[in-house]
Parts: sequence; structure tokens; C-alpha cells
Amino acid sequence: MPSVAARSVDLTKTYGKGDAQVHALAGVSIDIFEGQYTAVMGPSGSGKSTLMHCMAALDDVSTGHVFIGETELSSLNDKALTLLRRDKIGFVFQSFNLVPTLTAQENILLPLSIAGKNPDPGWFDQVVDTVGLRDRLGHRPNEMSGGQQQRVACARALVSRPAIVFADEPTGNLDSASGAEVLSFLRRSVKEFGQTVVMVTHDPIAASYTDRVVFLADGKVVDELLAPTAESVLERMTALQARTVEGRGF
Amino acid sequence: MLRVTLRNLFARKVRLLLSAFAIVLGVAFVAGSFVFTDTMGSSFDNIVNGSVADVTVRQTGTDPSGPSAAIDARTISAATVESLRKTPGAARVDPSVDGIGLFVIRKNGKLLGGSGAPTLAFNYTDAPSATGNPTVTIEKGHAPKGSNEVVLDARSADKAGYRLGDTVRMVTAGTVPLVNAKLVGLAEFGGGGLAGATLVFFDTATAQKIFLEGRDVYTSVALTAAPGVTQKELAASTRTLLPKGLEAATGDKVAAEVKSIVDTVLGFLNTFLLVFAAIALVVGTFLIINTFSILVAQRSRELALLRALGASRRQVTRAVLLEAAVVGVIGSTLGLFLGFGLAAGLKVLFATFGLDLSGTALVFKPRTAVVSYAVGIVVTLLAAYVPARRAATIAPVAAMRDDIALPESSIRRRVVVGALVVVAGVALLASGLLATLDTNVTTAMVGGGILAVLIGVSLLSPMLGRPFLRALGVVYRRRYGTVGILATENALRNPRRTAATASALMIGLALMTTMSVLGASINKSIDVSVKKEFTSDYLVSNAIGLPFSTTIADSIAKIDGVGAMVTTQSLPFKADGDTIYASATDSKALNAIYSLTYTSGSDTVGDGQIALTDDNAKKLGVKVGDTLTLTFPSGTVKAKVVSTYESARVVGGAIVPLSTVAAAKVLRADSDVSVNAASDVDKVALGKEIEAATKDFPTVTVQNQQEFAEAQRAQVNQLLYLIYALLGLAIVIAALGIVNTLALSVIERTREVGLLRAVGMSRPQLRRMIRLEAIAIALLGTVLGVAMGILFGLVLQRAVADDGITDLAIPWVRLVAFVVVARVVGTLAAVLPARRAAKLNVLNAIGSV
Repeated sequence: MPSVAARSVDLTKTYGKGDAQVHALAGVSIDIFEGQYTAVMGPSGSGKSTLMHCMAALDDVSTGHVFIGETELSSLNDKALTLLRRDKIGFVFQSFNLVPTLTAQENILLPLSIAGKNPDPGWFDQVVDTVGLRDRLGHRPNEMSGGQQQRVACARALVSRPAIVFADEPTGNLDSASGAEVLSFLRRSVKEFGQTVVMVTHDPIAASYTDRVVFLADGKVVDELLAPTAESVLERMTALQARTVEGRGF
Repeated sequence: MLRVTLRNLFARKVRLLLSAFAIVLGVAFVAGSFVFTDTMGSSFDNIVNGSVADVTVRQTGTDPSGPSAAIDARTISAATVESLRKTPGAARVDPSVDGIGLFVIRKNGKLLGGSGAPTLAFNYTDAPSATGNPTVTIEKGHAPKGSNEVVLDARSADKAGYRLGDTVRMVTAGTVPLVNAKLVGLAEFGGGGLAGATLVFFDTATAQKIFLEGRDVYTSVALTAAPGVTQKELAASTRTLLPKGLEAATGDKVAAEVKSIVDTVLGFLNTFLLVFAAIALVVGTFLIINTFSILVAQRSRELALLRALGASRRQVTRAVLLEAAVVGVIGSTLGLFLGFGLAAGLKVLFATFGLDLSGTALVFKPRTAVVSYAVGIVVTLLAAYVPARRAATIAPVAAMRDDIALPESSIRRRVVVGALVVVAGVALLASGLLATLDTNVTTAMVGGGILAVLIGVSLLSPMLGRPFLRALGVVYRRRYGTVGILATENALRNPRRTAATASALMIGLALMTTMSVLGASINKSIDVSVKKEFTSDYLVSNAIGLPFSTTIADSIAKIDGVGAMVTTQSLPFKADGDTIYASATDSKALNAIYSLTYTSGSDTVGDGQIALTDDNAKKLGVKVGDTLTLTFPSGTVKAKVVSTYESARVVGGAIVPLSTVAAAKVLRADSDVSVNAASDVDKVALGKEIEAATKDFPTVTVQNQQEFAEAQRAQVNQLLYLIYALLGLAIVIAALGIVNTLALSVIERTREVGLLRAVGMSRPQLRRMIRLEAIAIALLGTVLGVAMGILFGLVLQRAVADDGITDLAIPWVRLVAFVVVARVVGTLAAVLPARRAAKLNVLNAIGSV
């Protein structure tokens, strides 16, 4: 059994008070294994994005615990959380979120330079070559296509060798060809570099690139699938959707 | 469309207020200037109306606007007064003894009034003014009677610390240098407040003794019209009785004469204050342009949506302009209120200088409101026009896009225009300096040149700023790493915005630097010329140039160890329409102390002769041997030009013998006394003895060379600090501009800020990034401003080199201090935007569009 890179225990996240209370997460316990590519799926409103935000130290939790490695997040103050994000976590966002004034290379190196660390040139080259951006390094974001920008964002997430990379719908704003590039890059990073990646998606094809799919519905983990294919994921999703609708009394 | 606009506006109250603030400050200054000068005007109107008689009999040629350094020695005889008592239509006739040059010494030994409002001494009468009310009434105690009694106005008595029964000490410029009298009454002026002036009353005989050497003569006569008789009728019937040399002026005429002087002075003051209001508004314009540009950029999606929904370009432009108009109205309204506060503050400030207006309520004329609103709204609309036009160029399809960039027009046209304006400005400066033209033309050319260079550099600043920011970026990168790079890139990201923000600061600092260079040059010129010309050991003089009693010089002359000594009296006369302040003195004694450079003629000026400075001789077109007619209020005196000399700080524009004082019918009184120690005497000890001999006279000061130079410099510095304080307003507005630009930039870059936090930038790093951007903007403005200020200072010093500012000095230490202060301004300006950015929730920031 591979060791656990991140873990949530009885995680709840509640918005609002009294009658208006909404349970985005209603007790989620999940282990993310090292060197695995995990997808989190679920219908809209299932809480998959909230789960990712909480596990990635971007949002605080109502009750329960989140561990990154051995570190329990709720015990950390803002400064420590900032350091944790900087050193242990990489992010890929749906809308690429690059700094427009910086070149591709500067964007990739941004987390390291904010931390005041020197990049490992061998690793940097390897990452750049893997994402295939060697000839675009001097360009600014507005001189690149959406797929290229997202690959820069992926490279940025990997370059500081984080313990875990969180990707939030990384292909949501891309055409299918560019999306496939990004997904196979993330796949390669897991396979070749042993990187741990968690990806939130609603796209069964995207999920088929992963090792393991965790299904969420109404703030709870409802199912899990290993070695998924697009078909098997779609099948489970359809079933899940039907069950959710039934369960809600329609 | 209107509703959409207004909704928008009020949804963003904070931004609205920030942009309105520049207008508030500018308009407050405009309104404050008007309210204050109107208040002063009304106060003086009351004084004038409350003090003039129906008809005043006075010496012909009396010129209330004339120079005040000389006291008219002409008098009206008691016989003339007796004959005037028979004037038909006169209800009463009150002969008056007006004393000038008298000062009350406070209980603590210091001078009352001094450089502020004047002290006016009279023989006490209960005569009414033209308003029908008594000019003064005794509120407490009784009217003065006998040589040992005096009455003061209540406020002055209180200020000086005297109560009824106390002995009041006074000094005069006449033959009775010290007067002590018991305070027996407190007077109230019929016209209301006195604007800080001091009124002193004696009985007629005592006033004659103090001011007119005890002769039974008067300085003027007040006639009160009988019921039904007009001022004009009374004046006409008076004229039939008047001997030659006297004139009868109606109260209306005297009041108009005084008012025209007051109006001129107030006009200067108003203009002076309005200049600073204008500077504040120009600086504010940059702030508004920037705010609206950013607001339009941020709302481009929304404006595009309006366009997509069918709004025309004009409608979009109008919507933005309407917003500007509302900002203008709100800003002007607030400014108007703040202006009242400012006027009240000015009142307090002036009271500390001795101009006490506390008896007058603030005067608000409709004109003040009209001008304030017009200025506020027009400036806002003009400033918003360019952003409004740009708003209309947003394509409707932009509403559908995710990231919208406003079409940026090329800055090439701007650079070309800017360069042309700078070249034109420099050409104006150069030709103004090099060509020998009329002074007014030169001034206009130099002023226009400075303005053109300022505007041109503002236009060029997006281009000029780039290399500066790049250079600063190298420093930042080295010291602050990535945070420094990001700050530099952010400053460079929108060169226009950065440049406009910096330009506001640039204008303020250019003017401050110009004034600093000029001030330092004036001070250096003073030092150089004082060192060269000030060859006496001690100078006894009055700090504000008022004459003092000749008995002071007499008592100094008696001190052992006094060597050479010379007294001079400032004696203004008119020739060819110019007023020249002559020094009436013994030229032989003068030459024994000061080594003037006589460029032609003899160094001795005898009776009926005059020596002129080279400049004055040239201006009047006379040379040695010519005869010059000197015009005094009492008539003309002819004098033969015997020599010309180089202008010097120690003497006036002409030298005349003391006999001219009597010929001009002016009271003899000294303006300064120069003293040299005898050869074997300790100078310091002599100085102490002179101090001791003059200790009863707080009107005069004893100075050696160093103290004299310091006193002169202090005057320059005082004015300089006043100008700094007023320009400080422009700096405050410019600083607000930085706050505004950064705050709006943070909003604009919310998502980026969130990203930076997400990838591990700490809050202190984020705050530093914004602070560094603010400092970069502030330093850009300061460096450009200081550089231009040095240029302007240089040019202006050359332009006025002939007027005595012969030496150039650049106050480097002070200029470096400006840069340091600008850094601090940048740091402070970043506090709020940085705090706001640091507070942003990472998730929300990333999610926002």
C-alpha cells in the first residue's frame, strides 16, 4: 500500500446559519495516496470544489481535519498556511491565472522566487521539456494560446517539487486537443516523476487519464473506481445522477 | 441610461469620494480665498465707514495710497480752525491731531502690534462719523484729560495686559520719545471690529505736545453736516473759507480712497491664494483623469454590454460625463463647506500676525458659490472628457469576452506633441532670458515657458518614466528579488496611469524646488552683498522700516567708544511716476562708514542736490548735472544730480541731504543709525552699551553684520515656508492620487493578487510589492519635478539677476530632503491599498473576474 500524501477526516463545511444552512461537505474522509493520479468527480453542487479548496489550504473547514503529509491544517496560522502552500502544494486553475507582466519562464519560477529559492536547473529543464515550452519561455501570457498558458501553469505547479498538486477543472477552458495535451502531461508527471496529483473534473474523458476516481454527491463520498475508463466513469456518473435525483425525492 | 449611471455611481461610493476629494480641496481653496478676502473687505468697509467724517479738511496732495515711511509735517493753524467754525451748514467742527509712529508697549515690555495692524493715536473727541454714530465711545472709565491720561480701545488694552489705572508705556517717533500715561478709559470703535488696529486717545493739548511739538496746530479738521445738509453742500461751503494748501474732502471721497487701497491689497491677497488654488486644481485634474480612466477600464465589460444592448457611443460618453458632473457637484459642495472652515482658519492665522478679524462674521457672497461650482464642475468635466471618449470606443462584442483590454491608442502622438511643447517652452525661456525686452514681456515669456515645459514633460512622462523605472527596477530586483520585479512591472504596466499619477506630484515638487532654488539664491545674494557692503559695526533700525525718534541717535552718540556714526531717514518721493525711496543723510558721515561705489560725479551730496543709483538714473534718463523734480505730497522740490552710484543694500535708491526732509515738509525721524566702534574699543562691549541705550524702545533693534543678514534671510525664509505650506496642498492631492491609483489597481488585479497568495506569497511580501510600486511612482514624480525645478530656478535667477539676486545657490540638502519626503509619501500612500490587497480572500480573489 503506498503512503498517504493528504488525508481528510470527517470533513464538514457549512455555509450560512439556521434555516439557510447548506452543508457543502457533510463528513468526508478520504486518503490521497502518494504517486497516484486521483480524480474527484460528482454532479454540480456535490462539493468537489469545496473539498479541493479545503484540502489545498485555500479555505478553512467547519469541523473535521485535513492533513498534508503529517501536518494538520487547522493548527496552522495564516503565515504557516502561506508557507505550506508555497512549499508543499502546487495549483493549476481552470482559468490559467498567470501574471501578465511576467514571461513564461518567470511565471514558472514565480513560486520559487517568491520563496527566495534557487531552481534546480536540471529539474527545470526536465519540466519545461515535458510540457514542451522550450521555445516559448521568453513570451508573455498574452502571446500564448490557452493550451500553452495552461501548460505554463502546470509547469509552475511542478517546478517547486510540491508534495501534492491540485488541479481544479484544468481543461475546463480548453478545446479538446489542448485539453488532451494538459491531461497527458499531468499523467506523465505522475508516471515519470512520481508526482501526486488531485484533479477535480466533471469530464469522464479527463477522469479516464487518472489512476483512481472518487465520486462525491451531496457532500459525501459515495463511490470509488480504480483504473477508470471513460466508459466506466460515465456509467457510474449516470447511475449516481439518477440516484441523487431519486434520493432528493423527484 | 440615467438610472444606470446613477446606480453605478452610488454603488461605488468610496471611489466616488476619492475622486471627488481632489475637487473638494481645490474648490475649498477657491471658496476659502473668496470668503476670507470678502470678510476682510467687509471688516475694512466697516472701519472706513465708521471713521470718516462728513467732510474732512486736510492738506492738499494728501495721498492715502502713497508710501507710508514719511510722516507729513504740515499742520493746520488754530486760526484756520476758528474760521472754519463759521462754516454754514456745519453742525460741529472738530479739529483733529492724528499721531503716527506711536506704539504701545505691552505690560511685558514687548511691542503691541508691530508688524501687524497699525497703531493710530488721536486727540479724543465725541464727534460722529458720517454714519451719524459717534466714531468712538468710552465704554468704561472716562475721557482723557491732562498730560497724564490715556484711553485705549478695549481689545488692545486687554491684549497689552493693561487695566484701568495702570500706567501705559508708549514710544513715539517724535521729539518726545517716551510717553507714560495712566489708563483712564476703554474705548469702543463705532464701526465694529478694528481688524487688530490699536487706538490711542489723549486730550488735545497732550496730543499736540507729543506729535506737534506743543504748538497749537492740528493735522486735519472733521466737519459734521447739520440736518438736511449733504456732504457735497458742506464741502462746497467749507471750500470758500479755506486758505491755500488745504482741501475739503467729502466722507464718500475719503472712504472711496481708502477702500481702493484696501481693495488693491485684498486683490493681491486673493490672487495669491487663488494661484495656489489653481495649482491644486491642475494637480487634481490628473487625479480625476486617472480615476475615470481606471473606472472606465474596469467597467469596460459593463459599458460593452450597454453598447450591445443598443446604447450609442454618445450615450456611453454622456453616461461617463454625467458621472463626472455628479462628482463635480458633490465635490464642489463639500469644497464650499470646507472653504468656510479654511476661511475661519485663515482668520485665526491672520490674528496671530496681528490682523484680528474676530469682530467680523464670515462673509458669504453668492459670487463665491457660483465661482466654486463653476470651477469644480468644469474642471471635473474637462478631466473626465478623455476617459469618456475612450469609453465609447469599447466594442459591443467585448461584453462576451473574458479578458478585456481597452484599445490603447499609441503614445506616439502624445510624445510628439509633448516634445513640441517642451521645445516651444525652452525656446520661450531662452528668448525671454537672452532678448533685452520690457520686464513685463520677459516675465510673461519666462512664465509661459515654465508652463509649457511643465505640460510638455507631463505629456512625455510615460516615455521619460520608462528608463527611470527600469533603472529603479534593477535596484529593486537586487534588494527585493521577485517582489521588486513584480512591483516594477506593475508600475510599467500602464505607463500612462503611472505617468499621470507621478505628474501630479511632479508639478508640486517642480514648484517647490523652483521656490527653494530662488529662496536659496536670494539668501546667498543677501549674504554676499551684506558681507561686501555692510561695513558698519552696528545697525540700529526698525524691523519693519517704521521711523523712530531722533533722540535715540542722540543718546547713542553720547556713548563712550562710538566712532563714526551716521543716521539716515527713508524719504520716498515720486519722479516720472516712479516712487523712489531716498535716504536722507549726511553723505560725508555715510562715506565714512560705507564705501559706496560712485560711478560718476562727486561723493558729497549738498543742499539742493541728489545722488541716484545707476539704475534709477538710467530709468529717469538723467545724468550728472541735470536737475530733477522730486514730488512730495506737500509739493515739489528741485534737486541737481551730483553723482551716480552702484545699488547697495545699505542705502536707498537715491541719496539726499537731511535738509530735503524739511523742504518736503516731512517730520524728521530716523530710519536707521549705523555705528562704528572707535579704533581701540571692544566691539562686543559697545554693542551691549548700545543695546542698553535703546532698551526702552522695543521699536528698534541693534544688529551686527551677521544678525542683519540673518534678519533679512529670516524674512525670505518666512515667505518660503508660507509658500511651501500652500504648495503642500498640491502634494497632498498628489499623494491622494497615488492612493487612488493603487487602490483601483488592486481592485483591477484582484485575481492576480489571489494567485500570488495561492502560490505562496506572504502578506508582508504582498504589502511590500504594493509599497514598492507606490514608492516608484512617488520617486518618478519627485525626480522629474526636482530636475525641472532646478532648471526653472536657474532660469528665474538669471531673469531677476538685475534686481539684486546676483548669486545662484542650489539647496542640495533640501532637495535631497524632498526626495526622502517623497519616499515617505509613497510609503504612506501605499498603506491602505496594500492593507486591502493583503486582506483579500485568496479563493474569492481567484474566482473573481
